[in-house]
Amino acid sequence: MSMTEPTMMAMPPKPKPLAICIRDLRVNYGKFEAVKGISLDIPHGEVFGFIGPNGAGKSSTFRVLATLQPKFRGMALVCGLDVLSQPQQVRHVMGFVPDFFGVYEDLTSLEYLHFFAAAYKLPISKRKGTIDDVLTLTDMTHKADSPVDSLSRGMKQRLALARVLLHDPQVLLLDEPSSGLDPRARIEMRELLKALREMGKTILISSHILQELSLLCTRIGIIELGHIVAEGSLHEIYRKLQLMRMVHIRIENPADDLLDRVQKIPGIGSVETQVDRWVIRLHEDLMSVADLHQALVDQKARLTMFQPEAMDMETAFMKLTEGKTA
Amino acid sequence: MIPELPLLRRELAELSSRRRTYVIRFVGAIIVLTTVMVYYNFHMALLGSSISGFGSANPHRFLGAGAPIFRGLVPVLFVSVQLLMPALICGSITIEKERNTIGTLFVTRLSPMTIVLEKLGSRLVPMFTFLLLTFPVLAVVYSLGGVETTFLLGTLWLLFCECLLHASIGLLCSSWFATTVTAFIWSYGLTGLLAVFSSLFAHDLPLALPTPYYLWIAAFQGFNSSGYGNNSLLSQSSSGFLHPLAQMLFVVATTIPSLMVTAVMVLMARVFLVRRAFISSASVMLKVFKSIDGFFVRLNDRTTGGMVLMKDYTSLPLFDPVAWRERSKKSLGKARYLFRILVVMEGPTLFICVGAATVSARSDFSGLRDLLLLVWGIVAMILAMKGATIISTERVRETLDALLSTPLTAKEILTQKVAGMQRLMMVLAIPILSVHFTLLLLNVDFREIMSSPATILIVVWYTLGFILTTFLTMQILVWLAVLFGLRSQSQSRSAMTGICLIAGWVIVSSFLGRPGGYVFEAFSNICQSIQQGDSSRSGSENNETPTMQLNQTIAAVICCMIRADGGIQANEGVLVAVGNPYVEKTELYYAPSRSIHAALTVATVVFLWQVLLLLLIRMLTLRLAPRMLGRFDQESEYHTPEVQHFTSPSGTISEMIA
Repeated sequence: MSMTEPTMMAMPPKPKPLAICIRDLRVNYGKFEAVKGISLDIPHGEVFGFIGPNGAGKSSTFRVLATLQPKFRGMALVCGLDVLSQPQQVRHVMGFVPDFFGVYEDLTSLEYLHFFAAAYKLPISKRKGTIDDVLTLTDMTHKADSPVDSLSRGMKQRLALARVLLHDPQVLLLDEPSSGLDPRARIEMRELLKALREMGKTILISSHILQELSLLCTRIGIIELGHIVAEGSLHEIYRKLQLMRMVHIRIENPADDLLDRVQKIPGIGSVETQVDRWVIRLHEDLMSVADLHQALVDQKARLTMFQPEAMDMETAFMKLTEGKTA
Repeated sequence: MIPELPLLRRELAELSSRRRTYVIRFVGAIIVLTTVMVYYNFHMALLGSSISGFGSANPHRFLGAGAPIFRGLVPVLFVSVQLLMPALICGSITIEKERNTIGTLFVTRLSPMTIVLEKLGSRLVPMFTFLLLTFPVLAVVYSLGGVETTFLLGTLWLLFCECLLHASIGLLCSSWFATTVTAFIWSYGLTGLLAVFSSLFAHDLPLALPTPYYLWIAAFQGFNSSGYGNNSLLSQSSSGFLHPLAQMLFVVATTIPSLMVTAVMVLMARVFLVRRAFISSASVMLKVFKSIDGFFVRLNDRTTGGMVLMKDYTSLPLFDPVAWRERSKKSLGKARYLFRILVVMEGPTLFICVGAATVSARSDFSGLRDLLLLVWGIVAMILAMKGATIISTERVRETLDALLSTPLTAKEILTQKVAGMQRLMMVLAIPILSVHFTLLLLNVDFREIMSSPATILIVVWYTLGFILTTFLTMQILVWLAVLFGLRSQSQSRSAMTGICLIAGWVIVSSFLGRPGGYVFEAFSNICQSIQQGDSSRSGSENNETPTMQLNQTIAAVICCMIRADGGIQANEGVLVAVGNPYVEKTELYYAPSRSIHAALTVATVVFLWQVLLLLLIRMLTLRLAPRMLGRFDQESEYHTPEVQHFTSPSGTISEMIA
């Protein structure tokens, strides 16, 4: 054993840099300030949702991280690489799908991927295998020889994702990847993003479909008029805003006294009776959803439906933002 | 009751808020005023020199001088209409298609005819306001006397008809095509075609001509203040005794064919506005080529049972993806499509060259030089358009961001784009080289060459020179066009900017740097003064001194350096100097004193200058590229990413959803 070994073993491992680190980011277009001092830390493996009204500064932030915004102030690091001084290295570790993008109408899907594989300077010997893999992952193998122009919007989005996966980037920047997609394509896109999350990719995603982000993201940031107005996990934001969970129930024996008894259960905010169901607003910090179920059973309620709603992100969004746009 | 005309209002409001409107108006006014000043000075000087001595200070002697100035000015106005009108109107309908707003227009209560007419009106108003700018100048010219009222009113009417005719051509193109760029090219193409046919039949069938400009030439060029000249259409048709009102009616009657053509084209525009409102913006040329391919495939299937001798090899990009796409996927990049372009251009060129070689008796080569000019015009237009839209096409189709977020630097993207155009340049160079080669064959006596090794060297020099300068000039044009189109957000704007700026450089530099032009004249005057001094000492007038030859050489070098086609002109000087004794000395291009040494010097210096110019333009373009494309680059470091195999823990999307 060499002399240096004990020393090396005693040294703590070098901390891995954050996937994305933004400090006091400011972007101006002439006199208009689109981003006014945003700071963000996104560790590796996280799916960070960026929510905000149109013109809030989301796309500007994405463009800075994608090395497409030459003029900005502040600091932006991707995997510890400075966007301003090391743009070439950043392009190797990052994949960017812009909010509006076109495709080369004169190419087939396979040619399109080969085009970008060459643009990313992938070794020729490995190109075919990599392209086959991304085509399989995005379920595009059967469309490999189809002209890109003939693909549906959902397919084009998947092809765009396949494109940015070619060089196996650590960070994915997805600016509204689900906009304009039909429900099926949206579900497919969501599942694909979940798969990428499982593969350990760090994803920064913006979307207007809040329900979708709540199902996918580990943390979210709400941005308005160039400022981040809230940031954290969904639960943290709900707790901060004192939001209640909605639980839909259907009871076989809806007697009047049962409604009174249920309303008196500690932790229940209110009970709204609708034609076919009751809607319970629950303080989750006082009572969990499982405890509510037990409490209802204890009150002799014969439940035919018990459906807790996903956290009400729209309410959070509406509470946090004032609807001001640039 | 006055109709509201909402579309016309909107269009005029949009036009008035564009900076381009005022720039065009300003440039146009400068051109018109300069022309008037030149003609005014010229005629005043002529009158001043013709009347000398007693009474020469009498201002009455200038009376009647208005007619020649007017006659010089009006063609400028006609040419301005021909040049400006297509540019103004070609985007009127295509822009609605490009913005996807044409459907919104259709669902309003505006009928298609109303849309067409209001679009027409919206472009005629700026043209008329431009012509109105010249009215004060016309009034001054009219006040000098010599311009008959019929002459003035007839000219105004014909100008109005010219505006209508060219506006209807542009409108028709705009309603037919999907993009402004295509409509722009076809508008100018049809305008040029009309001008060529009108000029061809101008002398034979004046009444049947649709172009008001040639009607004006036929009716008024020989019209003079003292009555009707012998060579004017009015005098020929009426024996010179028509009442002014009758003359005016006669002029109006001659424009009926032109007005009918205008009306037909407006009606066609209305039909195509609806039928071709939602057509795809895919390349028209690519579509044409594909339909031709389909025809030949069917023909081959029928005749040979589908036998294929050489199969299409579909490659995938290995190293230069951008250049690969330009070469193998674009209509102006694929070898078999380029071959068709070559046939279309080279066929007529060779035909004319062979005709010139057969008919010419080694004395008249102006036809071939005109052909060279025409071929270069077409080539320059194609290259300028292609070069200027090289980035804006990506920007408009929203593919630029994806490309810019790859590790390819802006420099690599641009150099690969231009490299993808090399095949096109080679194909376009062939007709030009054919004309040069014909010129060589006609100018040089090969029997004499065999006896003179020095002449062989010069012929080789000329041959190498025309090959190199052709490609050099093409490269300069392409890189300039790329530079001009780098920042532009739309294809039409970048194409127009590229074409107009290059055309402007060619026209202005050719005008300034022509043999006998202002720049050349300045040096010629110096030479003349030296020659006079020397001849007074030596007593001989014809011998050229070395100093004079040097001055002429410098003048030629400067002229060629200014000109866009300077390298080609300087090289032609070598041919003229070495070869044809029948060419008049005054027609010598840039072969000062018919001295072969001077011609070689001029050609060499200009060639080196053009190489330097190309390097400068290329360097400037590549230096500005990252900023203009909206990103920042550092020096490229080759980095081979570690490639992993993508295996999601959950399998493919279908499996995950299942």
